This record gives sequence, C-alpha cells and structure tokens, in this order.
Amino acid sequence: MSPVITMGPFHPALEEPYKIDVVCEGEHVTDASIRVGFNFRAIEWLAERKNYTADIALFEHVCGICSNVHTLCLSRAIETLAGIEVPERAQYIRVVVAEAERLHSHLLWAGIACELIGFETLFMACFGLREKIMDVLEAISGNRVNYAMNRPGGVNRDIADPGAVLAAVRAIADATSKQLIPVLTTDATVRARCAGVGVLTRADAIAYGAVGPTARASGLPQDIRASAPYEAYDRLLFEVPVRQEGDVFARVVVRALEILESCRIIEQAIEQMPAGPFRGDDYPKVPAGEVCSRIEGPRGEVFYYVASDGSDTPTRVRVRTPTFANMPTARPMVLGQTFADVPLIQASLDPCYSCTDR
Amino acid sequence: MTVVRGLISLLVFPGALFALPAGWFMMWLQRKINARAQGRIGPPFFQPFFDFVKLLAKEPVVRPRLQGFLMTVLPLAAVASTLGAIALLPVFPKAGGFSGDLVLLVSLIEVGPLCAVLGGFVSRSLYGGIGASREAVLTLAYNVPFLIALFALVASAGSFSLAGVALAAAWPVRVLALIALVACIPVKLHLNPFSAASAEQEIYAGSTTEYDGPRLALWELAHALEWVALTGLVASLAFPVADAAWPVRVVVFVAVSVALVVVLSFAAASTARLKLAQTARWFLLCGSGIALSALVVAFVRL
Amino acid sequence: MNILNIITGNVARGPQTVRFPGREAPAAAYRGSVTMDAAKCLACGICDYVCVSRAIAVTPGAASCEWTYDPGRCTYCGRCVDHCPVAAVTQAGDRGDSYARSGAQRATVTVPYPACPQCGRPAMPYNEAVLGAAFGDVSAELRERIHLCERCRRRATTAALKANFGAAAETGRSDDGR
Repeated sequence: MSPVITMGPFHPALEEPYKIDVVCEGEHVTDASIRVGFNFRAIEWLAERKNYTADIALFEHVCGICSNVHTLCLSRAIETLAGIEVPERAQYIRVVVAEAERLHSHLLWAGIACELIGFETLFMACFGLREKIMDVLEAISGNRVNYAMNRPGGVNRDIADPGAVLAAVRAIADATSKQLIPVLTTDATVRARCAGVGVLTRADAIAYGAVGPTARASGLPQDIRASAPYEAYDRLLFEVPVRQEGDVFARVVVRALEILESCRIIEQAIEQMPAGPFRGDDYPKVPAGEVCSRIEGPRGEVFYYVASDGSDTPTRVRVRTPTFANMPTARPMVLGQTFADVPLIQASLDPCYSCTDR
Repeated sequence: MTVVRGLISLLVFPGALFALPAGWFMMWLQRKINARAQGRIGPPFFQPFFDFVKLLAKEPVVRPRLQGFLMTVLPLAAVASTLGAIALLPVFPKAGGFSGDLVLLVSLIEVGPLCAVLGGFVSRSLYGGIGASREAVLTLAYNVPFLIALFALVASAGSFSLAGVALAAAWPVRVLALIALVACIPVKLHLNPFSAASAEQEIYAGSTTEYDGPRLALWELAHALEWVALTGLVASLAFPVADAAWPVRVVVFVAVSVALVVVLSFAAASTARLKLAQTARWFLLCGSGIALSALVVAFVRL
Repeated sequence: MNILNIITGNVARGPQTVRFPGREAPAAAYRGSVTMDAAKCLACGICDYVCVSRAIAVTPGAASCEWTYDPGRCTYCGRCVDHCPVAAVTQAGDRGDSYARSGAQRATVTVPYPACPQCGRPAMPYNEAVLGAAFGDVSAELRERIHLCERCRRRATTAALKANFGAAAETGRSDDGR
C-alpha cells in the first residue's frame, strides 16, 4: 500500500496554511494533490460592502508579501472606470514601489528556497539583502508590508529621498550579481538539489496556463509589463529573462535575473521621474459600468474585475491571483520525483495561497 | 585496579563528567559558529544545558505502556552505549583492559543510530517512520567507508586496539582513512550536507518527531555524547602523543576534538542538504573510494 | 567556493542581528497609532468613512461628538490622515505598545461643539475651506450662517424668506421664527 504523507496545513516547509497530500512509493512520489481554503477571509464579499477608498485598504490585505500589487491593480481598475488620468510623477512612483516590492518578494522567495534545501547561510544572505529593500519601502511608505501607496488617481506619498532608494538598489544589484547569483548557479550542493528537479515542460506550462516566472522558466516569454505596458513601463528599458529548461534551477535563475532587471527599472525610473503633482482627487466619482485590469505581480499576472452601479461601493470585485493559475502545475512537477524534492518544488512556484483563498 | 580505572574512564574522564559538558559545549560551538557564519548573534553559552533542563522538567505525554517503555528505553540505551564508547577512547594509550578495543568501540557507537531507527518506528509517527528509514539507509551507506577505513588502519597497524592503531598506523594510510572517517561524522550528527535523516523542512525532526519532554531530553543527551565520541575517535587516531605526560595528552585530545567541531560546523554552514539517494551514492562512491584507497595503500605497504 | 566569500564576510563583519529586546528605530515616515486633535476636528466623519477596519468610529451627539479609536483594530493604513480635511488626525512616528485584550487600548476623544454666536447653544463646527471643497463657491450669506446652530440657522432662513415678502414682514409681531 502506498502511504499518503500529509504535509500541512502546518508544516515547516509551508509559509502559510495549506495542505499537500503526497502519495509515495518509498521515497518516490506517485501522486499529489493540494488543498487550499484555510485562509478564506471573504475579502470579495467584504468589498461589496465598503466604499472604494476603504476597499483599496482592504485589498492591501489580500497578500502579506505583494500588497502593493493588489492596490495598484484595483486603483487602475477604478481609474479606467472613472476615466481618471494619473499624473506622470505618480506613474513613476508606482513603478518604483512595484519594482521594490518585486525585489523584496523575489529575495524572500530565494531565501525560502535556500531554507528548504537546508542552506541556512544563503537563506540569511537573501534575507539580509531583502532587509535593505524593506528599509527603503518603510522609508518611502511608512510601513514594511502594507505600503498604502496607491489611491485612485495617484499615490498617497511622494518619494522624499530618491538618493537613498538609488543607493540601496545599487547595493542590492551589486550583491546579487557578485554574491547571490554565483553561489546559486555554481554551488555543487545547490545544483544537486535544483538542476533537473521538478521539470515543467513548455507544453505543460501552456496547457496548465502557467503565468509569471514559472511560465518564463519554461520558455514562455510572457510579461504584462512588456506585452501590455501600464504606468511608466513603456518608457523604461528592461528585459524579460526566459529559460527553456523548466526545472527548479531555471526558476531560480529567472528570478535572480529579474532581481537585476528590477534594480535597472528602479534606477531608470528615479532618474526619469519628472516633478509635479502626484495625488489625484480625494473622492473620485465612479460611474456605472464594469472593467478588467491586469498587471504583472512578482508571481505573475494579477487580474481584477470591478463592477460598479454608480454608487460609492462596487457591486462586485473579482480577484484572480497568479498562484491560482500556477497551482495546478505543481502536480506534473512532483510526479516521479522524490519526497525530499516536494517542499522545494511546490515552493519553486512561489505560491501564495493566502492570495488565492482571499 | 582495572575496575577503578574503568570506572574513572566511564564516569570521570573521558566519561560522563567530562563528556556531558564537552558535548554541550560542542553543540553550542556548532550553533555559535553556524550563527556567526550567517551573520547572527547565536545562542548564549549555556543554551544546550538550558534546553536539556527545560525538556527534563516537562511533563511527558501519556502513552500506551509498552510504547512508553520502549520510547524511554531506546534513548537510554543510546545514551549508555555512547557513554561506553567514550569511556573506551584511548586518551591514555597502554591503559589495558578493554580500553581502546576497536571492535567493541565501533559496535557501541553503532548502537546509537540503531536505537534512533527503532525509536522512530516505535513512536508510530509517519514522519518518525520516514526519518527512521532514512536513518537506516544512511547507516548502511556510511558504514561501508567507515568500516573499510577502520579496517585499513587495523591492517596497517596490525592491531585491533585503538591505542595500537593510533601508535602504529602508517601515515599515508592514516590520512586517507581519517578523511573517510571525518566525512562519515556529519551523517551521524545530522549535519549538512548529509542531514537527510532529520530534514526538518520535509519530515520535522525525523525519528525523534514524536518524542517529548524527558524522552526527548535523553535523545538530546545521546546526541551531545555522540559529538564527543565521534570527534574523540578521530582525535585519538589523528594525534597520538604516547610519550607525553597525561595533561598534554588530555589537552591535545580536547584541542583536536574542538578543531574538528569547527571544521564540521563551517562545512555544514557552507552546504545545502543533499537528498537521501544523493547522500547514499556519495558514500558508496566517493567515501568508499577514499577508504578503499587507504586499504590498498595499507596492503601495498604490508 | 563563492559561499566561503559570504561566510568569511559574515564572520569578519560580525553579527548583523540585534539582541532581544533591542530593535531598530522605525523610519521617519513610520505610520504608527492614530491621534486626533479635538480643537481642529469638524466632526465631519470622513475618517470613519474611509476606515476599512472600523477602528475609528465617529458618533455625533447633541452637544458634542465622540471620536473613538481602537489601535487593536487599526491597520495603520493612514487613509484617515490622508483624507482629513483639516489635518486633525495624525499618526505617531513609533510603534505602539502591545496589548493583551481586544479593545484594551480603545481611546475616546470628545469633540465639544462650539457655542452658537447668537443663542449660545452648541453648534456643529464648520470650516470654510471644507465647505468650499464640498460645495464649490460659498456665498457671503452662507459663510455667515455656517457658524450658527441648527435652530438659529433655520430661524435666519425663515427671516430671510420673510424679508423677501417685503412689507408683509413688517407686522410688528414679535418674530420667534415659528
């Protein structure tokens, strides 16, 4: 009889409560399933009962890592519905905060991946770098996690000290290219754990509808920032790293390169940022109608649908998080692998089940 | 006289009175070095001792009588056998008696992992079972180079006594064999890169997952004693100082043991954890290769 | 052997962590717990309106307004500070104390209504700038009346209406507004 090994809902390998049932023959995985829903907070239901300003603060709490992505996507949906133009300075500030958030999310993920293969020294190195960008975000917004930067029509706060942001970003780019990437790509034990493990083929990535770094590591050059630029991304130069291998190692490399690209984007945005107003109206009038909005979060495409009846409260807000799209790809990845690989493979999606549960 | 000496080596040095604080010190040193390598402050000096006392003070979970009995006896057996192995270490060569009998020493050292395997299965936890089976596979894997290396030393020295080996083994054989022996230590101590048996991100604490309170404290004790026994085994083989006075021997023994802890800690801090199959393959190919070359050198020189 | 560079760097630099209970000071822009200046407050209730977690509750009464704040419910998003029309709401620059029971830190500020310049009864506070933001151009007459209590304002409106009737108002009757 094949034993079912249950990981979770509370397990050292999982950042949040969810559950992975792994069917094993010895150490080999023959089947796996993921159960989510432990973090359901009825956020979409609550959104239909609160006004737009409160809703933006509400959707900040969908995710504990990429809070800015959600407020940005919702703000953009409201702006499209109400026909509000965002001041140019606000567009650049939004890009800076979004990319800083991507930096901290990717560094957090790299740290956790190292922790899952038992490499605590590298985990501390990643989190030490992440602390730098967290300090920058706290200096800009006043909080380490929930930045409360976006409002319909602009941002709540200006970047008071662009020099400090530039210095921190340059330090991170330097440490990433000189310390982190060499270790992650050449260390024998890291390669032994990551290379060839948890392969998601290009065909599978298309069939399962993978998004974000997971898709890009399987050879799909897919990035909303490049294909449908929003805010100031059409005025900034950056590359979309793509790898063909589709294994955990490719996902490590794609995210490591994205850290460097984000640093490049922030440097350009700070240098190009024009002076001018950055806030919009306090209370925009939202007419009746419905709208879709999508942006590229650290984990992939974030999709919002907002329907309005013309009052100050939306009639429906629907969120589709990147993890919802990436979650099913975990199964083809773990089949045939060993049990020891399961924590790393499921983490290589950079899953955020709290977002998915909402 | 032999009985008194035996009791002293079991209870005083290198036995309980020395080995307990030394084990806690080595555990602290490993954690401290690991912390410093990662840029952390690390635990206070008495932390392993505090942990032990805290676990002892906890009320044990009520278990079925047989299971509770086994879960107490197995860690006790591990503690007792490891303590016995330490007592056999030939810090004072030519001590006589069983002191330094290699066969007895190796079998006593092996009792600890065996108890851990049994203890994992007895605890009836799924993760304990996986940890126990991993422990069993690894024990088989590392014992190949471990035993071959010891056998090479024995062949080179022509003696089954540790003291004899320490004094007589040829240096080329000894260096190769010691490399193979040192490589086996991380498996027993659950250190990176060979810590698959207690991979917390996969199977919590492995075979000791279900243990609690005083029973876990016993495992911790056995673990601390294993540090002393294994580093001591290598130390007594690496630098025999037969002609010196006994304080010099003690100092050399302790210094080499601590140096070994430092080396192992840095090695653990700079590696990721290998998977079970990778670890087993490493020991069966690389580890055994080194040990076999020691054996070949030993026979060629004969 | 790149990892050795990281390790030797870490050993050479010394620990980067802080020993408990020490902690780094928060950033200058830190969004801490919310305080309110009753002297500036207009009791407009915008902070209540934008508060996502109902940490702020504004309850208007007859002679004063109760402004209640519970840090235990607050998400420290700062929307109340951003939206306050008269900058009466501010956020502390440091982290608040921890608490054991829900609602243990709830604080209430009473905003007394100023006296009506005509009758002396409590009148809802108003602010010209806010009135302008809400209703656009404010006429001189309206500007005069915003400081009156509800009763006196109604009376003034009635008086103005009656004045439109010209001589009809000159009846010599004492006018108490009814």
